[in-house]
Amino acid sequence: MLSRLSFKTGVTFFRQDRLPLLRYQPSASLEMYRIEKNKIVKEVSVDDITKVAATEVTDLVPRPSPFDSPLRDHVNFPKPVRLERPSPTRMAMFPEEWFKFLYPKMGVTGPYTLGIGLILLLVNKEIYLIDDFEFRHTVAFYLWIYVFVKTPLGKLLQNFFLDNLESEQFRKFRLYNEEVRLEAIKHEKEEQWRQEGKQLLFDAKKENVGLQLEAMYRNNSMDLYQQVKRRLDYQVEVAKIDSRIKGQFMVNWVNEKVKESISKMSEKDNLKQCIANLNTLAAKA
Amino acid sequence: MVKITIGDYPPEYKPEVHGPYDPARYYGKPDTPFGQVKLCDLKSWFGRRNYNPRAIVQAVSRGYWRWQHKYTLVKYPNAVYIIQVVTVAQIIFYAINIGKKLCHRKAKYH
Repeated sequence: MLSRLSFKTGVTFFRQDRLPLLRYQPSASLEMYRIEKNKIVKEVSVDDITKVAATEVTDLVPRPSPFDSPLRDHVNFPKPVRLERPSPTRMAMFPEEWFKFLYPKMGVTGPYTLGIGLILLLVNKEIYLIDDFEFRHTVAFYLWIYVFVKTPLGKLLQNFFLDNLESEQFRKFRLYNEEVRLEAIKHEKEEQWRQEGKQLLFDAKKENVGLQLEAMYRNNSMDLYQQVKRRLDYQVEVAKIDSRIKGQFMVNWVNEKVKESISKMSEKDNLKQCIANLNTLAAKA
Repeated sequence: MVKITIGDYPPEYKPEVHGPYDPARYYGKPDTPFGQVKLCDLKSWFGRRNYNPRAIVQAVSRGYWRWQHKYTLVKYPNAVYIIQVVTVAQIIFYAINIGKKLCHRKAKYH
């Protein structure tokens, strides 16, 4: 396109902004790490991924855990233990600790009295309003809880689940879950591997774009050289023709002038000279 | 300039003394538990509390993790934590919407 432009308008071609001045610089070196048996291997390659210029090997020393320090306070800060079952509650809601906390102050029935009294107070002062919608749903929700926690039906269901937690079916279900997760981990690893490949692809694409830029730059440089040479050749040719025409003109002019000077006046003199010459020749002979 | 850090361990936590970090634990200097405070000391006990928003957020976070360790992160969890969440949500949303409902008090017939 640049060459076409230059043919149409010779001036625009020489504008600096038409030329890509930025030259592509390939990356100087690449560092790659990999872990072998208790060793970290660092590979440094220059310009090319496939060629390794230097390798550095460092021994992997296991770092001491900060938790094994002699300063460790095992009495006040013991290792947290995961509970087998949830902490005990009453009415499937209120923690046992609250009742324990209130027992020395209010006795066994105290917390219940407090709770029921609080609800009655809220209802009495019309802070909790018994309306058509919310009250019904609240009561229904807690009735279902009562059914599942306290009634024989609920006990049956609870016992069914508790007894079968270690059964074959439940274990199968758990193993299935485990398999699904392991599969997901495998997929994730594969995706990570693909991402690494993508990085290589990006590098290759960058390299490619750089090469294209370089090719374009060289093409333009060549174009520029040729166009300049063409114009200079033209100038040389013009100068040559000019000098040739001038020379030709000079020769013609001198000839004409000589011829002019020969004619008319000098012809009589010549004749006289010739006659004189003849006379002298005749006298001698 | 005060450096504001979010997501860091509390400054009192030292791995070599306290072991692995437990988000439910308070690593500062312990005060008398609320359950053992005498009524006469209650005012000074509340005076000693830190009301910095940062400290409040930390306390709420510790409470949340304590609740999690007790009810949801156990080996065989039950429905208690769901019921607790629903109950607390009911109370909170009732408190939010109470302004719209209190006009019903003045209605003679519903």
